[in-house]
Amino acid sequence: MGLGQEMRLNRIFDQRDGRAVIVAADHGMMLGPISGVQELGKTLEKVIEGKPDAILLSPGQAEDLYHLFMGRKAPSLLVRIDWTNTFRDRTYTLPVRETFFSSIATPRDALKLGAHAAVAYLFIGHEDEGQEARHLALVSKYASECARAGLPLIVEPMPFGPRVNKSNYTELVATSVRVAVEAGANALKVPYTGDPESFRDVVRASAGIPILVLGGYRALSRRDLLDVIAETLGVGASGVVFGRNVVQASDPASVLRDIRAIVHDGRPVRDVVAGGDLAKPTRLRVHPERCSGCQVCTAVCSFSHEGVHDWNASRLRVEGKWPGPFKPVTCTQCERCVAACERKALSRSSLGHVGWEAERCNLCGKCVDACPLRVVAIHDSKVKICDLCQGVPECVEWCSRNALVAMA
Amino acid sequence: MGTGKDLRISEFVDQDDKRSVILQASQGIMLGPSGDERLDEALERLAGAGVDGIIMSRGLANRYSRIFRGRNSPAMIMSLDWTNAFRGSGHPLPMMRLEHLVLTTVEDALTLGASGVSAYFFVGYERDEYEARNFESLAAICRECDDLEVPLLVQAIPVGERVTKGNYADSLALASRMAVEAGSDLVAVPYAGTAGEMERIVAAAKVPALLLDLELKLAQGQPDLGLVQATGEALDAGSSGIVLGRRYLEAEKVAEAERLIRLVHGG
Repeated sequence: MGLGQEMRLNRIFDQRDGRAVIVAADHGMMLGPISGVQELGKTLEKVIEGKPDAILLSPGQAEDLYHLFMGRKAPSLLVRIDWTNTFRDRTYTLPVRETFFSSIATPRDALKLGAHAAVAYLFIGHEDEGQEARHLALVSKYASECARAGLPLIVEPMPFGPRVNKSNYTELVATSVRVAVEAGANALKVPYTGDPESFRDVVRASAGIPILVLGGYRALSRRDLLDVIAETLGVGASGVVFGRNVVQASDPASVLRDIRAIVHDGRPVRDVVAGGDLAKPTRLRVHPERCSGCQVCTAVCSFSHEGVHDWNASRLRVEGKWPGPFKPVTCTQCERCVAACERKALSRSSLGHVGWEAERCNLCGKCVDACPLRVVAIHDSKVKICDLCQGVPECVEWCSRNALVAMA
Repeated sequence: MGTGKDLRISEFVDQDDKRSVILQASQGIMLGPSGDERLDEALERLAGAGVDGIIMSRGLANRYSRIFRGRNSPAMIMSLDWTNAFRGSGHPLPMMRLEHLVLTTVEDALTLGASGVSAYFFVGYERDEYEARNFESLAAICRECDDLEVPLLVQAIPVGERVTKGNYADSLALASRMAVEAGSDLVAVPYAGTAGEMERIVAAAKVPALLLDLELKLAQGQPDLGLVQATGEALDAGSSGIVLGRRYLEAEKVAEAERLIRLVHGG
């Protein structure tokens, strides 16, 4: 890698940890004005408050919005130099009939726009193998021109097309990563394979070229999104490129702050979720049809609150006998216990759930009698009441079937 | 051949015995990673074991330039092209129709510090047009190599169903001679089947001919033979060494690679 490429790459990847949080906002060029990018300037102002390391734009938007990138503290600018219709699925206007990719700018054009890197796709799995060869030839040409221009090339290798299926997907991600590396990519944007073990193979295929994980998947929740980031960093990824999960968020800066806390500060996801701006859950929703009766929720509840496995110490219970049906019974935060307590030992806490103060309590048991679901209990001289684990309910965390869900 | 080519060839053909052992390390750009490779370790060990040259793709050359530093290191030979020919039935995208395309210019290879370049030439394409295109791109590379004085190694390989047991050696002779006439400075050819055929092909090549280690059966007529025996025969037939396939990047194959290096260079 030449000096220009190295210097520019170092403006994208943080010098302290070699990692990057990048926001992709180039969707309009391929999908039209989808939500979040209609008024891109306004969205980006909010995005930039969250301090991303770089933002990916089309050449036209880069020309229009370059003022957002002025100054040393501003994010770095990445410019997409190719185009494809691949992502126009049935939900978009003019769904794709035949996949195409085109070059829309040269690395030199991107350099003139002030870019710190050029970004291009590389698809493998075309039905017509000549298409794959031509796409690789285009990326190779970009690599050559980027080397001359002193501009890093970020390649987005991606298995795509009718030959790609569930069983070869992971292997093809690794294959496409290696193809991109050997073609001369200086960094990669890579889709997540779904589990850390297979992603480890993908990272190994990159021969040490930094891998940024794509947020193209639809995360179930922010927690889910942050978990994926932590998992991929754990097996050697160097950061993330998130698009819609950020630009379509109601508060992009808050999402980015949480992502940065994981990527750059190395904080555990649980702490970030508990301490972040995310709305805290105020109650649990139960889906009894999903419950397998495994009792992990009751075990983890007693363990996390009392340090022991004792179902009597658990704040919830699972009703039903093998082989089911089962029904988890949890506190609904109805506050009848609060109303029944004459000594005000029970109250709604600032975090939005019922809290218990030992000093005021005389263990009279009125709260236990008031609970319509009989989940409030006195055990070991303490009132056991669901505190939603101060914002990250462990029963929800551990339920493998999502029979328990935290509701804001 | 001018000064530049002569000097650069001497960087990967041993000057005492005029022989060479070249390692193919660029197949990842066509195939992806192989199961349990440890690329940097393997490259270092094989460089230490005494391979004369290593064929690299642009990206890997960049990444592992340290392997090539200093006068005692192997020379870097840059792979210029891409093909799906080596995607066998075990690959997630097995080849359906043979494709070949040039990806990198000779000038780029030279800029990146290569001592030589490598390209494929296939005969036996289902459609003759594809052979014509492959030859055309090969000839263009040859002219660029002449212009910049960069030596070219062509891997000449018969492929496909038109190649049978009966015409394999002839197809190989054709591919190799076409490559030479286009202007390649060295050729690498798979084993021809017998010592006699090997001798005929090596003699017809006129330029140094190396035995090419093919891991995959690319044509029905392609003969099977252990690489050690084939190497012995090829050397007896006058060939100038071998091109080792990427299976030699696997840790347990290093000892065999060392044996082959001794077989070629003696000692």
